[in-house]
Amino acid sequence: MGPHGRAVLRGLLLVSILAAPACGDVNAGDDPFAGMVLYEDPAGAFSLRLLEPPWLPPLSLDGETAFVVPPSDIAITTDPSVILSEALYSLQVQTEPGASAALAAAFATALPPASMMQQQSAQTASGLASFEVAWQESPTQFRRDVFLAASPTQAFHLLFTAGRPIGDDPMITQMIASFRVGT
Amino acid sequence: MKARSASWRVSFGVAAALAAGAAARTAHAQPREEAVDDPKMARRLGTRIFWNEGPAPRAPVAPPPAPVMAAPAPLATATAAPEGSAADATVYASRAAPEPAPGYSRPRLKLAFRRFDFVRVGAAGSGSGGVASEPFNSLSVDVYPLSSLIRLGLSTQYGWQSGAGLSGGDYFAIESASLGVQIRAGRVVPFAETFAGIGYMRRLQFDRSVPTAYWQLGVDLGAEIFLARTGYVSVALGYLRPVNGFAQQLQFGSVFVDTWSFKLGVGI
Repeated sequence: MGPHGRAVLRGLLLVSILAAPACGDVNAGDDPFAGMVLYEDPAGAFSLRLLEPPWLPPLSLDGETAFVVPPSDIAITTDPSVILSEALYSLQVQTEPGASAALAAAFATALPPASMMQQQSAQTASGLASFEVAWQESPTQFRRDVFLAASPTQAFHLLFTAGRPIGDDPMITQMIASFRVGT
Repeated sequence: MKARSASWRVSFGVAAALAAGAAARTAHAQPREEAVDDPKMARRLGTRIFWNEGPAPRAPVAPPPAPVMAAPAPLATATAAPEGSAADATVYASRAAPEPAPGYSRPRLKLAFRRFDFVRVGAAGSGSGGVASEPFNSLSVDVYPLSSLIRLGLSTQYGWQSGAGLSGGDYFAIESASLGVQIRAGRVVPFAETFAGIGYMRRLQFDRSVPTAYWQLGVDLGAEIFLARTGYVSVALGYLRPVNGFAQQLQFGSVFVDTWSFKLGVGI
């Protein structure tokens, strides 16, 4: 092989090295959670996926896990209540005793009529049934409460809050769809 | 007496013929006279006279039209006139070759609109359980510094999420280079080109602007259709792989899809 042939081979090798990452890592046509970070509960109770950023790494608050999307002008503080109240979006993951469907029905019944409550049920990607209640807590605070069965006698309660209606927000729907019991 | 009379008649006839010929030539054009350069020759011969120069020659007789085109019906005089006569030349002069087709310029500059579907990373699709599709519109200015059989292009492109306004949703700005072939066969110029580009993409996720990287690879098959010598419209169907790269925690990751794109443009 002459010097020209070796130069061409080197060029092809360089192009292939550059082209491999240029083609992308994850095909979103195959993976519905492409680009989302997997969070696994340290105790192994659950896992879910989220975009990080804009979501921050989770906070632990008295036995529950909280995630937030902070505003761009966030003040530096270590007070969890301030962080949650200032967040553009927040998610708290709790466990509650009882069946998920019954818990969702009881939760919806307790809401005032002015809360513009809407109920719906769905299924996560792992086949878990979810029971959701979307409502307005205050003029500037909207919630979406999701109940998923952890066991026949215990349920996970995902409490989403935001400054705008999120009952049909597709990005929150995708986070709920990624939720799994166990890790 | 008879002989003298006959001689006189011959002389008179020759003189009359010469006079008639001269008169006929004069009727067409005056002969051109020119001094001879050599003085000896000039003294002996006088000036040089060009008797054979007539009026400006006619345009060369055009050949009959190409066989693919129907020849126009000859004039009535053409059939009666002998070949090579003045009438024949007149007929063929009227059949002068048609105006040559105007040459079309090479594609040099194009303003184009492209539409394709990407994905809204982290968002659920409607009912399918997959990721949400996110249609993008884009405008680009393409220039072709090299445009012959091979064409080399540079494209500056701005794209925005369809339905969200130019900057209300996700958007991107990239610079691409293209390499392709084109066949300049007249009014329609078919082309095939591959392209690659890299730039910036703004993602709007949970009401926060997230800066990310965007690059794309693709192939376009289409045609430039000239409407005038230097103006054309362009239509192309393309395969496109848009890739969105971003930070995931402390790592860099990327997401891509394989999709089709449609491109329309106008250019010079």
